[in-house]
Amino acid sequence: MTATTVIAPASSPVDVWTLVRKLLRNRTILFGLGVLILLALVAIFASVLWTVDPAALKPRLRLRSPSAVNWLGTDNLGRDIWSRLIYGSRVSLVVGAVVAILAVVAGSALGLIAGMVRWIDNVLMRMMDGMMAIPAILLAIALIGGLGANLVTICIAIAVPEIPRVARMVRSVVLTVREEAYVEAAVSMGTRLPVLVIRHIVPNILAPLIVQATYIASSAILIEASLSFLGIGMPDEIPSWGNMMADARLYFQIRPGLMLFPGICIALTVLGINRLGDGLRDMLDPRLARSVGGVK
Amino acid sequence: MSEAVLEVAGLTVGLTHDADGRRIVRDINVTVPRGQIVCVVGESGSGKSVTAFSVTGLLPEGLKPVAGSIKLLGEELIGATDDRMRELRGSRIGMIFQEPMTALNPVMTVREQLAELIEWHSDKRHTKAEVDKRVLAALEDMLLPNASQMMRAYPHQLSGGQRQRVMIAMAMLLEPILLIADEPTTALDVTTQKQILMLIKDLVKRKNIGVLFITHDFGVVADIADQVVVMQRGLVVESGSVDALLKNPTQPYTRLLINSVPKGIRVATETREPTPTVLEVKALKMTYGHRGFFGRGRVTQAVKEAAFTLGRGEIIGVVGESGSGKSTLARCVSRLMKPTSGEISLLGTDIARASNETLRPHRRYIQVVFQDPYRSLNPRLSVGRSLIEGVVNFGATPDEARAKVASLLELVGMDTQILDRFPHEFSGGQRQRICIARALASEPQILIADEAVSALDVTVQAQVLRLFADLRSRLGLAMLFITHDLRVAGELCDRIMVMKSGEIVESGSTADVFDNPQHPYTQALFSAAPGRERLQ
Repeated sequence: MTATTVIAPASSPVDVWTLVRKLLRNRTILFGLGVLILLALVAIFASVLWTVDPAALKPRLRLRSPSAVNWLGTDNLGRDIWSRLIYGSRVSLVVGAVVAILAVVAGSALGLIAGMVRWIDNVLMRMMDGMMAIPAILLAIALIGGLGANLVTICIAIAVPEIPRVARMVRSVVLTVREEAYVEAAVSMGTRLPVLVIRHIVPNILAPLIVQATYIASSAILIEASLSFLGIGMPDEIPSWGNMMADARLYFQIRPGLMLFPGICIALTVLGINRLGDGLRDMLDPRLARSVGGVK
Repeated sequence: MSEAVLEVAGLTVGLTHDADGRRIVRDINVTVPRGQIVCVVGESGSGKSVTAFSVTGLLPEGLKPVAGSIKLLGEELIGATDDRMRELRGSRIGMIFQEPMTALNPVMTVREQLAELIEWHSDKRHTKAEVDKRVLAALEDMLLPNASQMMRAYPHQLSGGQRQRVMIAMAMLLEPILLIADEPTTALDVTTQKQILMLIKDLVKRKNIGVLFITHDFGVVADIADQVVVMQRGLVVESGSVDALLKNPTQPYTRLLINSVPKGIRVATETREPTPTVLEVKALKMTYGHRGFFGRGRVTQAVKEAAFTLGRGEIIGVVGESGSGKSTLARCVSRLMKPTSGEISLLGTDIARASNETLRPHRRYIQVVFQDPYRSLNPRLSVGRSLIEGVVNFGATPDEARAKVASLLELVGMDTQILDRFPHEFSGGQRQRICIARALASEPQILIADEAVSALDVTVQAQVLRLFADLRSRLGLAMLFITHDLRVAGELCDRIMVMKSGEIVESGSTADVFDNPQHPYTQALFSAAPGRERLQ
């Protein structure tokens, strides 16, 4: 080798640590991460944390107020609310994560194709426009109607309406980046299209994509809850926050907790994810950060 | 000597929070007399703009004057209140900038923007007719034809030169005594630049104002300055009247700056024998846009029937103003763009309409160096990775490629140990050398330089031009040299093609074109070149 190793390469592992430290110094990100990690732990260790079998029906003990046995009381069928909340976190987190990954992967693939292959662009983007013209929740209901309701179909049904948004964003970044002189230089040096895309274009879309993914995750959790609330979400035997609120519809005037506790869980989760997204956005793309009064 | 409008004495600007006491500019002395143009000349980073901003009280955050005085007609400006400075800007100090589009509000008509100024800076209310009359007069003062139509136009509807005139009209509206012009013609075509320079010169005479004119171009200085201040790294190197300074510059740096201005005279005038043709372009056409479904839609013919041949070791200059189609021509020839029709014969193979797949093996013979060195290198890749990309694409192993790239860096005059560093660690000139090394890595026969020296300081520009000439004689490289600057083309090129609205209006050997320009447009370009008479 030549004597090029004298100067330390700038992309050493040190950079990862500075990045982590930078992440942890940001209070917005710290809050969001904290909430998410807590929820993830709850979801993972749900089988340890539950106190009463969440599926056990005890009609004699229905609509009880909080007690030593039923920490947060019971619902109209006598099921333990605390245990159901614990298990419900699994559905929300899985839906959030899976939908975000599905939408981001499919959306960026379509966006990259539209941005790089000009003749497909028009066709693809008009299809995306068409999809965006239908309200996300209606599209999801239609898809579930066609596919039937279980965790997989619900994730797909929620992810599909998000795809056009991701595709549009990726396409617009690709269209800007592909005009950069360094991309043209790579073209004139005979770089093949796949290498060109991965080496020169994809790194530019990662930052906005990560931010977009957090917003998709939080809206997915909300949509799942809404679908369950409407009675077309998760099957009734699987506890989810949306199901719990749906069941509580008739009884929440007697027992407000039935509605309140899952509601708080949803709100907290969404808030946590959104704060994480805001923090990441401010850090990764300083141009979008609110310059005045922004969180430092 | 007439009364001084502006007196800057011992001005020193430092960082607001800085324990080391670093100074951005030190001990600056500039005096602008009434009725004269004082040019502050220097390369990027010399502190010329900081000096101008100090006078207007608009120093960027983090900078503040720490010593010296700035007097406007005897009134001290350092330490003046923000309110007083705001009052002075506009009423006593007018300012014009490099890019008029960003300085004008895109959603207001010209009339509205000028009227707003009138209303802000006067206590009594004006009737609409009065305002209209003043606005119209101000625009007519700028020798704008159709001033009454211009009033109703939005900035995007105006040409670059018209916008700059509107900016000057705004700056002059409240009859200031000092005009500060920060590179006002740098973004303009030469012919437009000429008109704006004439206008400023004329205004100085008519209104008897003082002008502080910031520029990097000694050609412009030679054309308009009465006094010159040369700056380098925050210090005034030399100052004096323009005649004395141009005739006998005492400081080596001033001499270097003046000598670096391209004079448009070929340094080496060897005549070349006919050489094997490496590139032949025939009837090349490029049309943008397409007719819509109903035959409407806009079609722009960016290049109409271009034809030329390029021999081994030959440098052809393509000269034209913005929108002349010269860059489109370069992009078609390098096949970054597929021409509408025509023939591009590269070493005997027609690549004009070839598909990407058949084109790839031929790409190595034709490489491009772009204008903006800051955007031509991927900021996320180390210099080494950027450089070896092409070599690896054409079949070398990464280790071979690194060895080759190291020798190329030497060829372009860069340290070979920089391979692991990143583009942001280098200056514009260094980056452009890296880009040239990258272009040479695939051993091309033809190098296309698309305004490759336009973004560089004059001294760096002169170095890069020498590098190009050197590469030609050492490697027998043929070049298509795209530039808007006839003077630059004249220094380097064997032949010159002048383009206007997509057509090659004149072509011939550099000597012929320079000594005896045939086409009226070429003649106009020559007469507009700044500093033509005085710098020869």
